[in-house]
Amino acid sequence: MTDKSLSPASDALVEAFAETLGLSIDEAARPAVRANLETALRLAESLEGVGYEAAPVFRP
Amino acid sequence: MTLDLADATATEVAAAVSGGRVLAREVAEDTLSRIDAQNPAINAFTDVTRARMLREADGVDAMRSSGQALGPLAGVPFAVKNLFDLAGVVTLAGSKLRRSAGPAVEDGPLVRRLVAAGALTAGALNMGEFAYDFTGENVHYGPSRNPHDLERMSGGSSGGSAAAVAAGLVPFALGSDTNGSIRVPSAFCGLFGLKPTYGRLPRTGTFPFVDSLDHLGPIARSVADLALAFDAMQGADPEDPVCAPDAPVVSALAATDDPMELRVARLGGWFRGQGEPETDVAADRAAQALGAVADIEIEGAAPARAAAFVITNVEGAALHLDDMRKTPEAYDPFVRDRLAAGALLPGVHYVRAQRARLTFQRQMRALFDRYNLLIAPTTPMRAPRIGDQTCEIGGETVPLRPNIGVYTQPISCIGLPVVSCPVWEGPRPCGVQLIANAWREDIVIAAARRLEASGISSAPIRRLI
Repeated sequence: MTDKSLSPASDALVEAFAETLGLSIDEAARPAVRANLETALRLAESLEGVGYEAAPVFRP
Repeated sequence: MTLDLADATATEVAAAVSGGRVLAREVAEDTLSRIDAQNPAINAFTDVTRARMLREADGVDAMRSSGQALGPLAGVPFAVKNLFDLAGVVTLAGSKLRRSAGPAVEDGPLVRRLVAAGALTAGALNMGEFAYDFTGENVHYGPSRNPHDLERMSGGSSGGSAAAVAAGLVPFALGSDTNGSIRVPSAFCGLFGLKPTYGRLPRTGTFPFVDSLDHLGPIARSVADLALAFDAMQGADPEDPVCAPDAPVVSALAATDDPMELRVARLGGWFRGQGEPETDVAADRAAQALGAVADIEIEGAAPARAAAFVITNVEGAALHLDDMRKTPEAYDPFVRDRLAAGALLPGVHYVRAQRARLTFQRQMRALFDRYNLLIAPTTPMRAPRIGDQTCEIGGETVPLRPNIGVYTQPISCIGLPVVSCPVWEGPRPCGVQLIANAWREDIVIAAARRLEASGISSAPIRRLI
């Protein structure tokens, strides 16, 4: 239920994605970016199968 | 002056100014001297609009002496998180990057509406960089400090707003709330904070963060003051496509003594047991006082929180991508590294997150057929110490920052109106969320007022000198 420590991810993947966006992520920042990406991916993957019936247009 | 301005609520100040018992000029001068004396301890203000405030006060006094009717906020000081445009002030949004943006040429609509109601603009308030923050810390301007314990976080990202109100520098302040940034600082600083329905108040004239989730609202020391400020700000604005042109107008002030029936449930499951036990005790006390008849679990809360996280990450990154390419060094590394991760997240996850949001909205709507008020803690912990990086949740040490918002994120993800009420468990306050169906700010205000009247909820000033 909570955000715990994160498993290692691929530096090469982070570097490749960043390059396509024109983002420069220096070596010192890479572990933090990778950790944040891991958290986001883990949460995103928890949405697998949720809400597929809903159209992605929100109205309050 | 018979009114103690340091303790006075907005309601009391407006009544005294309208009744001629105090001049708006006296209120402004008193406010400015308190800001001068106390702000250094809490670091709440980044700009004090002294000349403007005195000019506005003189305008209110001139109206009164010429017999003109005064607005409901006559002579009431307020201040805004520094992502609101104030004419002549740089809209920093907590950043170093925007120092060179030049001053705003005009006030945003919410500031205009408050000033039209007679309020006096005291200045702009410290905040977490670009609102991507739950702590109230800021690497460029220093942390805004919690007046109840200067070593503790004010909460974010509207930390300066909460610190200024809790110290009694202004009776109310405006903040923004994307994932909890009005409710978290209200909880940490022991205040009432209103996050209205998504689409209720226009975001025009503010620096954005996440279009799908951004809300604006007031923080105050009394429920009547929240209502007074909220009522003065309601209204459509064609400049913000999200602001609903036909939203049913509610009178929050009238709701403060509305004997409406409340059908109350305490949210359990995701919303129980994630942090300090005191936060659950506080929510349980509030639920009991309001006659909660059930403790219910909603299965969609965890996905809703995940959806809010992903939407925030991706939309925030999209907003900042150009600046991050050009001047990554201008960002707080904590903010930059999360935004960079958001830029790298595959688009399919963003679309799934938007779909999950709608699923949760449907679940919650069904719940409102049975209940009209839901109760949950605001945060899983009371204010942590400034600089803390981890916290204990469920007996485990986990990163602090992403976990402060676990109870607020599912609710703002679907735009429901919430008042966070302060409930004291020991010397540090807890926040309790009162949640209603969309457009029913009157219900959360009515319930908050009942908690306040019963003594369960209170927001005392912490004087610093």
